[in-house]
Amino acid sequence: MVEVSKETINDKQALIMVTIFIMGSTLIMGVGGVAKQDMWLAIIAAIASAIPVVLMYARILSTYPGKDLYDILQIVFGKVVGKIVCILYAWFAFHLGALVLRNYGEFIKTAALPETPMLVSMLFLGGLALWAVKAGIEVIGRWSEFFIFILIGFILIIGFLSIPLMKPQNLLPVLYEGVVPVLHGTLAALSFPFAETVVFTLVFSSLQTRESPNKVLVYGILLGGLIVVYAALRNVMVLGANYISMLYFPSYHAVSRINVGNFLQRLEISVVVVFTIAGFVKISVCLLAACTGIAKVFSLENHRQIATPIALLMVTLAYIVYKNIMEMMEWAFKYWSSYALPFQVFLPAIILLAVEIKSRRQKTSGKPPAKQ
Amino acid sequence: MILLTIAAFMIIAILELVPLYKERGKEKRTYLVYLTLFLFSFGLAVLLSLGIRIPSPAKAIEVFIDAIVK
Amino acid sequence: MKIDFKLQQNIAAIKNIFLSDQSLVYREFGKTAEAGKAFCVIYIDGMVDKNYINDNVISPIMSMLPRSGQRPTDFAGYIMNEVITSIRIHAASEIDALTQALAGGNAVLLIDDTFEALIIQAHGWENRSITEPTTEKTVRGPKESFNESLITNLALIRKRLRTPQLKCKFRTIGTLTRTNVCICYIEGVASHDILRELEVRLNQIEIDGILDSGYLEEMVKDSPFTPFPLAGATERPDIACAKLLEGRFVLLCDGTPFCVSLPYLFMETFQADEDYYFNYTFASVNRFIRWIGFFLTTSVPAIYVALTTFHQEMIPTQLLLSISASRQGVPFPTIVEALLMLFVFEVLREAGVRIPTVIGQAISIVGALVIGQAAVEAKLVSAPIIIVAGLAGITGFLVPRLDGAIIILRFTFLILSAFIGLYGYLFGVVGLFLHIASLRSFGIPYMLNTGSLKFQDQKDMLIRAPWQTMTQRPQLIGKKNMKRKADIEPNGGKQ
Repeated sequence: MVEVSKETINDKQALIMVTIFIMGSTLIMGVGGVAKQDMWLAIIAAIASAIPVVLMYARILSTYPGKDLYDILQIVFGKVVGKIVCILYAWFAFHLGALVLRNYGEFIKTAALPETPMLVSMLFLGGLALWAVKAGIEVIGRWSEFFIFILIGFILIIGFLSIPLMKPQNLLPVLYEGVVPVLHGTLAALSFPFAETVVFTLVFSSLQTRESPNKVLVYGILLGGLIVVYAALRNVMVLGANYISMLYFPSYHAVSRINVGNFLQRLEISVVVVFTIAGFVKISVCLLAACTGIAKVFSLENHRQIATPIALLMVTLAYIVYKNIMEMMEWAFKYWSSYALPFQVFLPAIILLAVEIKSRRQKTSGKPPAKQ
Repeated sequence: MILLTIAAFMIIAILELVPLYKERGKEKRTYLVYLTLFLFSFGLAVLLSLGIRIPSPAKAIEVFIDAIVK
Repeated sequence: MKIDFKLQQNIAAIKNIFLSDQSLVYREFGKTAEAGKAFCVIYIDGMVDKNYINDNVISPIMSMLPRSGQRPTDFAGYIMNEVITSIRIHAASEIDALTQALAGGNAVLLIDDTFEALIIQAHGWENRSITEPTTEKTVRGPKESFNESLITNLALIRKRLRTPQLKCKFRTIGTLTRTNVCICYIEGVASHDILRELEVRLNQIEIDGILDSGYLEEMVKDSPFTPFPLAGATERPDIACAKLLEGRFVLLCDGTPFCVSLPYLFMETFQADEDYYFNYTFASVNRFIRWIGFFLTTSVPAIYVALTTFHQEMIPTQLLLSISASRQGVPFPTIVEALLMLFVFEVLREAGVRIPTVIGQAISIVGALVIGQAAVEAKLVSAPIIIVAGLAGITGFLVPRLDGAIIILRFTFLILSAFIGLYGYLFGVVGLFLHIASLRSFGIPYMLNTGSLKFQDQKDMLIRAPWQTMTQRPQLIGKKNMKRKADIEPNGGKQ
């Protein structure tokens, strides 16, 4: 075969994957709702605080080029401790994928198909994600590269059409309740979605150069963040902060208000399209990370062979994880931050520390760390 | 419903488990991991289709977080 | 088996191999010392030009005979080099080589008292003359098309590409048909990696016969089970040359006017040769219509079914009213109607291709009146579904290279959207792109550059840019010599 033996994705594809990943369920669920009309401030603050976090991920990755976080953990912490942390991360990716799947299922059920069982749409999307994982990260990258056009196209058209509905006074008063709610919102927005990019450290073993992780993660966060900020601004300006707090899926309602000359209406289908595309990428990346993790823990050669039961388990977990949509929303906004931040910030900080110590020590003994 | 579940899992087993079983000499570990995961998800699916409510892991995490944060 | 010293032994041996084959002609002539015949020409009737053999083989030998009393030592070499006036001739010393040459349409000259025989190429079978292309008609552009002879086809390409950099590598494939296959490429532009891969794959083919380049196309595919074409096919020499100029390879196959071009990208299915001969604005519009046609032909039935069964609120009220009015009294659900009508359309299409043109009229009458009009009046199906099926069917003809894939996609999307409405359709689209994103044609991603933002990558995709701006060859395929205007170094430069 002419094919390259190792899968590689170029920086552009990786960047687009990060961008779509961030748009993932965020566009539809809305983030930083605690901050009310200041949620856009909270999101911008979250982007700002996410950049040092992803720089940390990038530093870990670029110390060991060609390796993913699972390999690095086992190199740095040794086999036993390393594998335990690997299992934790595999679980995190698996759980995150299941949650996104559940969000999607709930969304389809609430917004569009109340009679169809939620399991059907989740099985379909889970099956597609399984297919994507079997096809490999290269294919996901190429797929994203194409679909980002459709995403951006929809977002631009919708943005343009919703301008007449926007009421800028909905953004006022700025910081009416002080800084504290904004900080809460920042924390929430950091853990969902920006620092969720930690999942990419589990799959990006095949970037082009040593500098790629830096570039990809930072620009991905900025681009995805821009779109998330835009969505938040639009929702607040169209619907008003009070109304948003009563809704599960604010974007859906904001877009459904568009009506151009009684002809162009019912455009909320575009929100479904965007969510399907973005959610698909997010779930696929999570599933890929989980499969790679399990394969690495048990030292298997090929993560594709075990993908099917893991995908089935993911759908099952998505199905049983919450009783109803209220529970899902409560969990997403109450527990998620405290559950996810250890994986997203604290553990990576410890890992980075260990990586630095190890590479310093190796430098003094005269061996470069990359030759592990 | 339960029959449908069993049929679906049978198809998956024929498509993926049987080839792995045939090659188990070479990749024993893959086969064992696959088998475990497969049986686990099959068990869960059967329980679900029988209408038995499975406790959500989210609850356990909730308790854990509450214990640490408070 | 070696050739025997005695003429009669050799004739007997060949007769034995071609036992009960009466199309062989044995013409013995000349005289030896023992009053036997000195020469024998053998050929298969109809495959060899008889006049050629007469004028260039038999008469020179006959006129030479009385003059030479003494035989030169290398008699066969003497005959070959100094007597016979033929361009392609060579000596052989194995019976096997002779029988194969005979089966391949050559004449064989056996000579008494030597261990060698001569094989004379004098193909004389009938060929179709060069005509206008039947499947790829154009308003503007060259009107020649390939015919069934490989050599003629090669000449048609050669006379358009007058450069020594055009290389042709021959080989025979098929244990019984021994079909000649030729790989053409432009040295210094085409990638040697792909050439090596192509040769490996051609070597791996094990088959008794190749009757059309379609066999080759399918057997060198990267993913054998995809409905999408992973190699192009054309009967127009100008298209073949355009592919060569872009750095692609063209496989010519004896016995068929269709050549295969590879590697093949998804977007090539939307290109037509006329795009490049007409004004680029018009070409771009046509290109765009083809893309829309692909979308319509795969999606219209699925979207119609999804909208009418799951998302009625998305249809404007007026339209919804008229649709439900026309559905009044129709016994089947929309999905059954749609499946039925699409099936009928496929039947009509297939029948239209198979039946002789003389009774082709009947099909259109039956199709239009009986199945269309009468079915609606009998309330078997509703009127909108006829429009939907018709639209899907007609737009399918805009991208003929994809027809196999289109039928599968159309029915898959339809069934998915019958399950969960537009979401099913959406999942289908996601899956479709997942599939074509995972395809490769000779290692080149099938969706190459579809996600690119660079002008040089997009110039020939959704639109056809003006020729002045198309200064580069496609990425990866023509990477050895990207600039279209630059000179090619002789022998491909440094490897």
